Amino acid sequence: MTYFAWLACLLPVAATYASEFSSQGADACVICHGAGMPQAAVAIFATAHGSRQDAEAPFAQQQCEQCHGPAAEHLAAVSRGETALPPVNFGAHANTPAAVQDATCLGCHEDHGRGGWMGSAHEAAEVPCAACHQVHAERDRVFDALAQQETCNTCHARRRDDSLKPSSHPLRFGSMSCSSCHDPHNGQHESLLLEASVNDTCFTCHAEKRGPFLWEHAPAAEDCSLCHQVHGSNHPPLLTRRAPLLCQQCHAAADHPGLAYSDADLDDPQANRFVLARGCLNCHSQVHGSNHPSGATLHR
Amino acid sequence: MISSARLYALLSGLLLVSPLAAQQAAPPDTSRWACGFCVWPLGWRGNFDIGPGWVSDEALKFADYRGLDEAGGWLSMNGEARYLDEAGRFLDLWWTEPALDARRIALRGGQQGAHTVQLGWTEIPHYTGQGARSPFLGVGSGELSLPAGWQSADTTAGLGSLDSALRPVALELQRRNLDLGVRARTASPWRWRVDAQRSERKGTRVLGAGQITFNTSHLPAPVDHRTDRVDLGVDYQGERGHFNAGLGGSWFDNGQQSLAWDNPFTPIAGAEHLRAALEPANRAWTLRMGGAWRARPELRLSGQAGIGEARQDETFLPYSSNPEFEEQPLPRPSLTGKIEALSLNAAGQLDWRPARGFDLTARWRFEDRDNRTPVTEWFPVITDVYQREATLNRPYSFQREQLGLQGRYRAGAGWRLGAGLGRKSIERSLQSVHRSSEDTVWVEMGMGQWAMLDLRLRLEAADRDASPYQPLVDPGLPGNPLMRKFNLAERERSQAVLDADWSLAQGWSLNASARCSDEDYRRSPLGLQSSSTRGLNFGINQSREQGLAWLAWVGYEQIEALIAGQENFMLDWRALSEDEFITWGLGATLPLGSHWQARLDGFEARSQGKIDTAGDPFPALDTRLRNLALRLDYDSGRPWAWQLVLEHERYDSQDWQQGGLAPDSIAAVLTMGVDSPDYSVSVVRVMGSYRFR
Repeated sequence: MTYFAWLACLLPVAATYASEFSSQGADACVICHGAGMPQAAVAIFATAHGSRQDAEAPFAQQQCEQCHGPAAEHLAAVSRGETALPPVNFGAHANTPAAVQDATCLGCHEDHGRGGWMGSAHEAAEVPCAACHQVHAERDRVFDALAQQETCNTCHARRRDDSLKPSSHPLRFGSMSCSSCHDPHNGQHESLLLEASVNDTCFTCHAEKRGPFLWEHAPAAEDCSLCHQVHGSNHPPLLTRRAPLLCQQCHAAADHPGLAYSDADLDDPQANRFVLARGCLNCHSQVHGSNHPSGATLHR
Repeated sequence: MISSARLYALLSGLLLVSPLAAQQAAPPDTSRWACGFCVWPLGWRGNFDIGPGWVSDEALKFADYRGLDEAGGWLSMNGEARYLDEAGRFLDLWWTEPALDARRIALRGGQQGAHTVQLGWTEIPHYTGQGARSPFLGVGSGELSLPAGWQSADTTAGLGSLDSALRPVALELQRRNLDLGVRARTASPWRWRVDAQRSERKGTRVLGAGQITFNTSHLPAPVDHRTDRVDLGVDYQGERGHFNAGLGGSWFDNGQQSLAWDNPFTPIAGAEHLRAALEPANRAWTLRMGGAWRARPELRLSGQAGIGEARQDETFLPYSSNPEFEEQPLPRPSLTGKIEALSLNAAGQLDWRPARGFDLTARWRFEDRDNRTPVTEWFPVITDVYQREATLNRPYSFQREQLGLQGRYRAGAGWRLGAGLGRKSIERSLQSVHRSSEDTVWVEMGMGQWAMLDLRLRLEAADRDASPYQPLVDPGLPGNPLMRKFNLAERERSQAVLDADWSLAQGWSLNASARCSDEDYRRSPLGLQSSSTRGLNFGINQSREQGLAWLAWVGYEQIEALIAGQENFMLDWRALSEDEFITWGLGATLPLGSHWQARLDGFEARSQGKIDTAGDPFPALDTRLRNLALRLDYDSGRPWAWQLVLEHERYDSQDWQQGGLAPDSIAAVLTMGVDSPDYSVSVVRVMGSYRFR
């Protein structure tokens, strides 16, 4: 027969295999993806995805093919010694488009917390779920504080550098992680924050700053990040600049607030009180607000 | 007559587009899918890691957040234990360093597909100063006193009994969190959740307070904070959408309402005993609802709304502890007994995919902070010295609104194009600027899947306008009418980001990132004039299933800010603040035979801060952190494995402002003499890991 005749005969067969499920389910997959194999995937049985008791789990339904799609063609190609991927494969560099990968995951997981995925920064950047999550590991790395940071730092390397600055949040030893403040799935909050605003996010751990206070400090009430560099800073505690310059960005009243301080003032007993130690905060320590009746100048 | 070749080609084409080829697979008969080769890890499994550790030196900066605050040995323990049975009941337990103040323990158990209960305990030590000393007695309480025979003076040089009175003070805070979470799935598609947390933070921090600008003291203030949070939620997941609702509450309590102290300096206006307020107890609640609905396959709506309230009702202290003013009546005993700050948050999003590869997203956010604290006339006694004329308190409110529209197009061959517009506006009360709005435009171009190289370039520009600046008139020192507070001021901003990721063969990957952003406040006569950030990151790594795996990275960042000031409305000055950071690191993992593996990790982080005012720069603020860790693993097979970890860390710093000052170094400030951290610490751990299954 001519080449095209062969082609015409094979196409219906190929078309059939491309959309057919296997005949044995996971038993066929485990032959190549079992324990000790180069692409072992059986750690999934230790996770919720591998549950047979949970009617919504993949292994209570179409097993591996619930997520990876019909695998008949993949199995047929492998049996011929060819390399062929299942219809849906996962990962940052997988050939399955991110949107298709995500649709597979969101088919079950588009609930609280993932409702804001569409249009979010990660979705727009085509970062699929499996770029961060490990379904086939006994423990998904993003649930370990340190491994989660390594995952995020793959793309957000500057935040790794920030955690090594002189003043930082307790990220380096895993007491906090990126998800302590951020929800990477939810684009409805600015900067993918857990709460609706920067301040509300900060108040989850720093509720003492919430107030309301009798005497408020306007920038502190509006946005903590006006004065703080939350990922890491050269100026404790996590300040964008040192006092008095930090304060002189907004304050230039007569007398000491407006003076130009320099190295020459370090040995001047009349001036160094405004520069050394905590600068303005030597006296104005209630910078987040004061509830003292005489705290109008944030001294008390 | 059609040739046979063309006929077959036509048939092939028809088959490709035929419904047969495009038809989805019929659901399989999974009853025959025995999963006989599937092995569920039933029963207990896990590992206990235990062994001695030793720290060479004591350094609080080294111990910060880590917990190794004492030289000598400790028993290092880590591990996890997991249980699963045939009925799907599971229990996971893991723990980290229970013998240290940075311990973490977590427990999670339940029934797969039905419910999960989580319990967690976390402790975080935070050390804020080594070498701190203070003459005050009663550290840890709300009353600080000076020892008998204390000699007051106008300056620290005259405090004759200071040296003999100094005692060490531990400037440390310990946070303890107890977390509880419950997830339950009743009749699908409903899900319920409860989260609760008690967080306690206790210790001592520094509070600066004094009299006018004549003198001030760094006081060892007690920290006794407790925050309780509860969050209840329900989720509904349907075929075309989902809905969620939640109610959250947060209660903050402070074990100390105030801090009182004996004035160590010569009292001004007779104020021998002073008192400051500490953070008042407060509470807040939030009710949230949200959801998403897929109107059509290419059209999706989502939104979230919340209302909440924050209250504070702490009884006021008197105007002053100075007997001269103690009879002054307060306008009210507490902040009206009931203060409300109402916040309303809402967000809506429309996602439309009208054509293949093209999507549009429109987003709207609104936030309303409505501070209903009444405005009252007060007569504050400034630093217990003099009573000011009538001063009104300012309960700040604002409304923030954000609109955004973005479009993305995925062209062929891995090209991606994007563009967007946005507007952020904010209306404020009781501030110099009533309304400001910022318009943003951005474009983005990406290229992927070409020789495994992914590139992304994003350019963004923003322009912020503001209503006329009306300087506020405050009692006391007159403000400069030329000052423009940078968060209220008009601003132009630009930003560029370039990212590259390159995945090569043999497990190699490269990534690089460059970014720059500039903010220009050219219309501000005084205040922040400009700020800029420049950053570079580069990383390379090779990971292989066998053999050497290694990585290297380097990062650089520069942050600059120019501030303009004016001395007493006459003499202009400018100051430049510049911070530079360089970090780099290496890591390598090498199998040594069939039982051994070695891992080496090292990094260095350097920072330098410069402040230059009027051509007379301050000394540089320098820090240098270096860490090197070697780990050797020996695995002879189950059940035991062994680990040797050698770590050395060195930290050098020069902080002209906060380090190396004795309590009497500054004439008008009694400090606590905190050292500028410098340390060289080695840690050795020998761990045995028992694995069981």
